[in-house]
Amino acid sequence: MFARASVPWLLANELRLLWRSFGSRKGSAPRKRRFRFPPWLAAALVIAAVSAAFIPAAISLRDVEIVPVPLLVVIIDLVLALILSLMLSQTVVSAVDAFYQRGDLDLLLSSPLSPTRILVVRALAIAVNPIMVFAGLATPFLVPAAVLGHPELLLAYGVIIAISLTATAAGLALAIALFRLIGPRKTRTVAQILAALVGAVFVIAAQVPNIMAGDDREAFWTERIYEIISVETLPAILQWPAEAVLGRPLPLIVILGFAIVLFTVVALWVGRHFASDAAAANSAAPAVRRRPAKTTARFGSGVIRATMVKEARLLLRDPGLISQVLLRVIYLFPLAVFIFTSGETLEGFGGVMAAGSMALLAGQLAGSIAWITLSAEDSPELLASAPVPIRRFWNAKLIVTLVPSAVLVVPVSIALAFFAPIPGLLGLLGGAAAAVSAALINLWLQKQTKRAEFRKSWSSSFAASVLELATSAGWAAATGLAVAGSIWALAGAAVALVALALSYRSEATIQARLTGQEA
Amino acid sequence: MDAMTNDPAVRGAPPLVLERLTKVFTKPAVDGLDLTIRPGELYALLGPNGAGKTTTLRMVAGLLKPTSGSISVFGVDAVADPRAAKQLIAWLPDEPLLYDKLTPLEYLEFVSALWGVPGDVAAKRAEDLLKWLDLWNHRGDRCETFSRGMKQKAVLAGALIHDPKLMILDEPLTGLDASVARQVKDLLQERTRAGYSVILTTHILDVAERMADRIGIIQHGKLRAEGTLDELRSRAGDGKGQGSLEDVFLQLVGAPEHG
Repeated sequence: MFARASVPWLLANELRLLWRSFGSRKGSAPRKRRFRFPPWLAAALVIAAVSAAFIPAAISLRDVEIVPVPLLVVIIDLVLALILSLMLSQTVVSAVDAFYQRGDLDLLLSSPLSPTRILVVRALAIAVNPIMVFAGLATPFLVPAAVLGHPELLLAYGVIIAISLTATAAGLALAIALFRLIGPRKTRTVAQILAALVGAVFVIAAQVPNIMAGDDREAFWTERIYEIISVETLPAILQWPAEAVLGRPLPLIVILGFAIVLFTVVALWVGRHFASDAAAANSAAPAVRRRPAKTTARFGSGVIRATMVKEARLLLRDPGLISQVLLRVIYLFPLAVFIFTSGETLEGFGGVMAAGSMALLAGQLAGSIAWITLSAEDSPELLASAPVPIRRFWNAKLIVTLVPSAVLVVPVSIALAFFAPIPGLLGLLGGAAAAVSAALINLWLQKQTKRAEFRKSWSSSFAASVLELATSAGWAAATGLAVAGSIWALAGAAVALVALALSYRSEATIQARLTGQEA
Repeated sequence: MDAMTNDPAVRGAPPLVLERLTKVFTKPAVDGLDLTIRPGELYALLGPNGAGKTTTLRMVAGLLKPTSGSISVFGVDAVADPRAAKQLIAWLPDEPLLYDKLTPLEYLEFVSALWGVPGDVAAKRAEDLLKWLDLWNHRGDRCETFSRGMKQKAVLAGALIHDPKLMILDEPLTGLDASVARQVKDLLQERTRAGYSVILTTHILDVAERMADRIGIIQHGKLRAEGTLDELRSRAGDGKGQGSLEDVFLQLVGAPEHG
């Protein structure tokens, strides 16, 4: 179809590898074939279900002319800025990986192809990933609205492509800048931390107005909204992205054109140094903090203690992994701001939200760390060959898993209880239930893989991720509704318990699964 | 190292006896294997790719459950009581799987806890092993900075920290440079001289030829031939008994087809 070794041909190969890596089993032994629900089909069904739920809203919009008034423009711009920051956090790490991950890079670089062409293809593949994710998220809203009277909204996909190309160009530029500034040894770790900060900066920045608003938050926001409404025309740089989303062709052409030019210039510039930078990255030793070597050890510990110490060391010595875990729980920060700035309103709706969010976050944190300690065990054969029941290792790992959740959630619960005792207590209980449930699901559905796969843990263990999310969401709903005094709290708890029951596997089944002896 | 013969737990029984050992995945990987290792013996298990060598060793190490048959480690039924058997053995896979963020000393601290080695004994053995393997000066460095050879040596130290009576090694010399390979070979020979037993797989026939007391050749999960090098030569029908192990091996398992 494409000329061999051309950019489209190479890109097709990259995308085929990307597609096949999605949801593939890694690190586990072969087993008998059986029907597995394909992740792409699950994603398609979820998109279809959410699209169906959005149809009534699309019908009500059918005869409405969507006018880019200042308030709508500002809201759309903020959403686009959030998308850009999230995409950038992903593309920075992907760009650095393009230099470090060997895979087929040695093969490609040893071929007569120009390194620039190889880099351009890698960069395009980096851009495709966030496009797929955000296009998937936008589809349930865009397609029903487009089919039911606003076809111009399909141009929003063009904006997603433009943002992704811009984020990829920025990610590549940042990666190469880090290479030049701090060298290949530290670039990977710093890039991962930077990515976590970039992803979180919007969420944290969004809290600044809340803090500035002080006690009278409602009046503060009303004033801001009036200010925006009263503006007659916004600057073009603010106006055009929103107009492009709403289906105006000219702004879209300008934005997409800018993104394509930026992407091309950066990719060609980085491509000129790609071969030498990739070689430098490959030959550099891992970033290791220079400190006096620890030359003593404490021999003679019991298995539980030794395993806990081992897990804690492995976690604390991996700043890249810590930054990725923190990215998943950075939303605790707005929650803390909310609690400390809400005061007496926490007895009402605020308390419901705060307690429920705490349960959700405790589940997220425990689930993330449980995945790292259980599924991403670096030396499973060492543990399997030791004269120790595997359950003892699991117990030690579960303890390590639950400590960070307790460290984060308990102080927030106490702060909440100071203002509102019932939400504080129920938040603590809900958080404990969610954390224990998420840890158990990761124990029962563990699948041997590598720590480096943490960012893709969703695709490497899709069922576990869905059940973990369902359990956390169930406990969060139960907690929030219990604070509100609703009997429907029992329904939330039931959802969590059903997800937990569906996840349960016996010790023998888990071991059989890990050693590839599953029947 | 402890004197093997003073250990009452292992006196009298052969280090390893496999009887009718079978493992079936979708088809038999190991098919009714009978094999015995004698005390103080270095036994090399050879065979073409996919012959069932690694599957056999993984079953002995307690990583895979046999479909049928028995495994006896110093008289302990390893299928019925895997923990007691694991206490006596050490397993070294072909890939040196370490914890990259730990130092070798911390790694040994963890491994010694798994085998319940008393603290003072473990500390002394760790020092001896790391010095012997030239890792003592790197005892405070994280393993992520190590070369493959250094990692393999750290794993080897971990395997020896509990003074195993039987060592099971899968391709122990893969990817090692000449000096590290020499250290590993010296260590294995020293172990067998002290009365301990070793079973290993290798693709390097020269290693088996020089080091092994007895050699087993496995194909399609079955033992095709077993014995000392001289016995194998005569069994292979060489006539003169002069051929190399490679000649014998190819004669027994068949030379690869070309074209």
